[in-house]
Amino acid sequence: MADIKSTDEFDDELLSAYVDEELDEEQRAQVEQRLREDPLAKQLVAELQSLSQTLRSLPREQVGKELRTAVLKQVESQQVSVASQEESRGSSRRWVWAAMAVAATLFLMISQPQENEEEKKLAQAEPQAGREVRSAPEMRAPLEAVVAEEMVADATFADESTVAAVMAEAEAADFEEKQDDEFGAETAETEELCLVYLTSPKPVAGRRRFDELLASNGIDLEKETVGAAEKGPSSSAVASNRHVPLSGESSNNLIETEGVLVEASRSQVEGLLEDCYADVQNLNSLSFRDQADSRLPVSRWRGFERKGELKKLGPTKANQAKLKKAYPSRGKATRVGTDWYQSQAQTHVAARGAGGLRQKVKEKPEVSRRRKVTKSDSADQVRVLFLFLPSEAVKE
Amino acid sequence: MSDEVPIEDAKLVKAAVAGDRDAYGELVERYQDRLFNTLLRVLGSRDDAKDVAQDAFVQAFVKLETFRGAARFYTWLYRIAMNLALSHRRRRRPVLSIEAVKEGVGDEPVDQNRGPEARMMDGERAAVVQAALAGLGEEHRQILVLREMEDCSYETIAEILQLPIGTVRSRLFRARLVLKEELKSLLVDE
Repeated sequence: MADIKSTDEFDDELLSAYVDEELDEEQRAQVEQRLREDPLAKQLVAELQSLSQTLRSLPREQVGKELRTAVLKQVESQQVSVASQEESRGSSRRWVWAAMAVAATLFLMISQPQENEEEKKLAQAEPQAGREVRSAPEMRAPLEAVVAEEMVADATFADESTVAAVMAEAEAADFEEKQDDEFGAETAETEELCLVYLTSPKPVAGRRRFDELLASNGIDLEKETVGAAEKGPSSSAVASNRHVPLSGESSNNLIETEGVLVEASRSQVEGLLEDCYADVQNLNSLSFRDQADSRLPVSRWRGFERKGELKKLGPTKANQAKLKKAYPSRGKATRVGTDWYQSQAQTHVAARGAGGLRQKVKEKPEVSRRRKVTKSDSADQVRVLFLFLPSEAVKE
Repeated sequence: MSDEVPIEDAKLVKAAVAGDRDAYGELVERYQDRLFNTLLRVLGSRDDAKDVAQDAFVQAFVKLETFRGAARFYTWLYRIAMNLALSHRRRRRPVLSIEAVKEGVGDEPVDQNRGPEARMMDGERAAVVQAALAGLGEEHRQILVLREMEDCSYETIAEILQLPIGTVRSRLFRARLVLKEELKSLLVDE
């Protein structure tokens, strides 16, 4: 191999770009001059060309009509009834996705301090276009983390993505374990719960952006917060958690757990996921709990995963007219407080083993009235559980 | 992948959005082989490549209404596919051995009609190259496949992977150096 380290300022990357014919005239002349003078550079270019030829010579195959057929079949299947979707589910997951008449819960759980004047002013200074009502608690950001003591203590949690991933994994295992023996077969069968974790570097902006993304995907945010907690965290479903303040903030701040329940079509949820994925400025991590046997298209949704990877994507601009046409049937989002959450599910966080974090989300057998109603509204109605974790706090 | 975009793509997209499934079927057919082969090299498994290709096409269809004409359809499709592939790979153990690669990719057809210079490599050699590719990080493998298998320009790669052009250039360079070493060690081991 040629020694690619140059002794002068010559940029060796130019040699690779030269092989690709991606240089402008001046750069090409510079490289050609270099090649005349430097045998090592010349050797490297030859090796890169050979390597390129090797890769280009890899055999290629033809897929045939089967892929087209499978894709169109799957596309068609999204419009068939719940019954036919159920029927197709078990047969061929590899080539024909299970039809999607399933339920999950989109739940954005956010904890926040009661007061932070700077963020509050920021939130108030920027009016929210297209948003009718915001619940009062969200103006009290930035968020604070609700994490288990062990999560913070464990140095292996280098970033929010690690935490989210571990949470997802541990929680999934536990949830699956508990599902059958505690919830009853009926609940497990009809009320699948999908967890998605989000982190935001800017709590207020992140939440505002999330609301905008709801709107741009045809999901209307309800005016009222359901089951808003009237007490502090001690009354919340995460009462066993430790409250970890962001730097510079008072650790005495009370927190309130708040969620957003989204009930919308599968395509709307996918639109929401994609938009969350695209907006790295406000939502910098998105990860799913593993759900190998999920009836939801979780493996496909995981295409939107971004675990702490800051890709430079611009914010998505929603074309409102198109969206209105695309989503004639509106989805619904409702902020829910801890009381609601407590009434719907039991959540607690507990550490296990060496820093393992386990979050259990157990749905009670008595499924809520609102879920039953909404489920019957649409064949492809989906609900997913999101957890929003402020990344800064996790990094502490 | 050539950077020349058939003008019909936009028309097909428009027709598909209007409900013409055959139009979308034509788009699928137009890109399925390329996408499959790209994914085959990125994922190292024929089954996985088919799965992800199918998912990408379906996801693209689901989002077709929001597809903005500023981007080219295949760039948009490839972006979806690359993201899906990345996610898919995270959940699987990497395929590193040549034998495992052969299992995933299998014996591939050799095009005997082409001249000796342009003739595709045989299955054994392809498995070695694939194993070397499998030894790379996801980012390096993706960018190399897009460049070498799809013949994407730096600009197109930047669009698909959402990277600045300068990053495309430097990442490609590093990926090539790593692959060169991987190949060298595999050939020595043989």
